[in-house]
This record gives sequence, C-alpha cells and structure tokens, in this order.
Amino acid sequence: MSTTVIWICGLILTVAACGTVYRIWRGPTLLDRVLASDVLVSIIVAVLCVNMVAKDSYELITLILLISMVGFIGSVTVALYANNAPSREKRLEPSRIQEVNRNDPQAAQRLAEAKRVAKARKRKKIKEGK
Amino acid sequence: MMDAFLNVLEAVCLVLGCLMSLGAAIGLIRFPDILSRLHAGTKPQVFGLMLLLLAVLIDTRSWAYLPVLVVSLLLQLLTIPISAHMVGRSGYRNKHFPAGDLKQDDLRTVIEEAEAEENATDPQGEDSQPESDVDSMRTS
Repeated sequence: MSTTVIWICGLILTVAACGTVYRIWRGPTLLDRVLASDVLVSIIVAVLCVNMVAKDSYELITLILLISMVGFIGSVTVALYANNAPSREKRLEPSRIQEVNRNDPQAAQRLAEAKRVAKARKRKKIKEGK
Repeated sequence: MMDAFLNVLEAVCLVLGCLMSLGAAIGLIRFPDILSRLHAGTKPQVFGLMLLLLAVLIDTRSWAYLPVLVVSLLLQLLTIPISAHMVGRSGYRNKHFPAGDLKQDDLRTVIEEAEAEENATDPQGEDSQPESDVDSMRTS
C-alpha cells in the first residue's frame, strides 16, 4: 500500500480520536462519555486495520475481535448500571444542559432560566460558606 | 492491471472507512443531545468497520482470512445495535434530554401503562404502606 494513503488515514484517525476525547472530557452526562468511548474503541479498531494493511502482517485480526467484544460488554454494563445509580448525573440538572436544541423554540429560554438558577444557587452557596 | 485496480479499491475503502470515524467525531462534537450523538456515533462502528475489513481482505489477496473477518463483522453487527439501544434507553429513563425535544414518544405510553398497572395492583397488598413512605421520602 502506498505510504500516502496510510498517512492520510493516520491523520484522519488522529483528528477523529481528538474529537472523541474532547467529547469524553466535556460530555455533559455519563452516557455521552460512554458513547464517545465506544466510538474511541471503534477508532482503535480502525487503526489496527490500517496498521495491518501498512505492515502486510495479519495477526491482529484476533485482537480486533477481542477489542470489539470488550467494548460491547463495557458499554452495555455502564448503560445498565447508570439506570440505577443515584449519581449526580441521574436527573438532568438544568445547569448541565450546555447546548441549545434549535428545533425547540423554548430551549433558549429554558437554558437562560437554568443558567440564572444555577448562578443564584452558586451565589447562595458562597454566601453560606462565608 | 488487476493489481492496480485492487490497489485503488483498497485505498478508497481505507480512506472512506477512516472518514466514517471522522464524521462520527464531528457529530459527537456538534450534535446537541444524546440521541443525535448516538445516531452519529454508530456510523463508523458498522459501515466504517465493513469498509476497513474489506480493505484488509483485498490487501491479503487471498481468501484465507475471510472467515475471521466475517466473524468479526457479524459480531459487530450483532452487538452494536444492542449497546446503542441500551444507551438510548438509559438516556430516556434517566431523563438525559428534555421530553419536549422528541417528535414522537412511544415509550412514554408504555411506561405510563405499566405504572398505572402497578398503582392499580398496589393497594391490595397490606404491607405496601412502608414502601410508599420510603417513596414519599425519596421524592421530597
């Protein structure tokens, strides 16, 4: 395989992995992080495929099988566990809605209201702390 | 001639498969809530993997690796919808997105029916009093 194609694939996959890691870091809820790490697993599988093509050695196929199995089990387990966990992210806290849905005409209004409430709560907390 | 054609096909498959991953990453960054991100995120896991495995198969120039590749593709095809379904269901049940964003909500009627059934059968049990106390404490 020509090295140009391998380089192009490598660059594309690097950018994709950066975007996914950004979503894992930023993601407002737990499920966003789970989904993004699932996509990261599939990007790793893609990297293994490109590596096999580049090196002309095909022993990594079993690793692809294993990685996809592990990713499946992990994401299903976390989705099940998140169902019952009384975590901070269980209910949608208004301050954690960071993006506005454009289809919903009231979304911007609701977001502004949520931000105002969150700010007031923070101020109150600081006042109580002092 | 044939070799050159296969090379070009392989290169196209590789680049397209990688572009699927890039599209998923862009979708993950840009889309507003969990359901639309789910829509973007499951693209490279099925179609992108199909293209990349096809590229690997073309690169081997033999049929020897076909069974393993088919097995891994089938495994992916079976497991990806399940995990996406679990994530979407969990997002719905935990209210990770406002219900007003949904155009059509079939799960709500099912849940309401199930809750109505539960409430209808609940008062018959004598020892259901402490449980309801716990519930009211939890909601308050």
